[in-house]
Amino acid sequence: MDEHRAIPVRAQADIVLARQIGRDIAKRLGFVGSDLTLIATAISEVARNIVEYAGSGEVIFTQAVQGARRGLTVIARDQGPGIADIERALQDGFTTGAGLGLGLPGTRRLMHDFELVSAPGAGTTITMTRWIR
Amino acid sequence: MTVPVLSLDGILIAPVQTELSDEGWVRLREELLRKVGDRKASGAVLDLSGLELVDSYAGRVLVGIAQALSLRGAHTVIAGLHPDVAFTMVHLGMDLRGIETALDLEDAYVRLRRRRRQAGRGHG
Repeated sequence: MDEHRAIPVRAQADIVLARQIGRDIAKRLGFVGSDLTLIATAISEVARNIVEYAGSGEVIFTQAVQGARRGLTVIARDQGPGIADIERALQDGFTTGAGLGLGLPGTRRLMHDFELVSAPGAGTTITMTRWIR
Repeated sequence: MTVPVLSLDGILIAPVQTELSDEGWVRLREELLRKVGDRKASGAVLDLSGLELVDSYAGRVLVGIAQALSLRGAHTVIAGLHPDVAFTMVHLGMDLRGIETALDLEDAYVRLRRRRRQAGRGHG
């Protein structure tokens, strides 16, 4: 199954589109139940950050394969301002209040693998994967 | 998509049956705040059983609605969260700032009616 899709994200409607497409792909890959909601929500979080902080970017979906494991990899990429203090951005806290407001600690909890690459003026790339159990 | 805000004996009911756009949430908040005054409502039920997910943005919106309604003297109860949505919200670490929740619309409505009676408003 060749599930590779890139969705441009620049407006609020794209957030909804990205998470719906992501959920559909996850379902076709074999995810079921609450996993679908976890994945769709993680996509919504990173897509929202793209719209609010970078203005535009893209969300890319690919199938993840590791030996016998199968999963979905979501890449959220933008050329926005970048994150200066990555450690602080990943510091746990409430998603609806303090902290940098990027919701990254929470998003990381929804996925199994999570990687953030960012620097001021160099944009941000988040690569996250959830595996089918 | 506009959410109709119903009024039943001093309690507002907003059945959110589809995903809402940002503008949709703003319209809902405005309608609720306006109707609290029009109907002298003391409570509002947000029935979220139509939502497939509640992300941190929606969580912030819900907290904002509850706080604004509280400033207008009305108590908010969120109801109908799908099990997967509830699980995801906990996993995400969402802080709903103590907004009251109920399993379903009926449960929420009964609680708000009881609260209204205890406050001496309305008659049973």
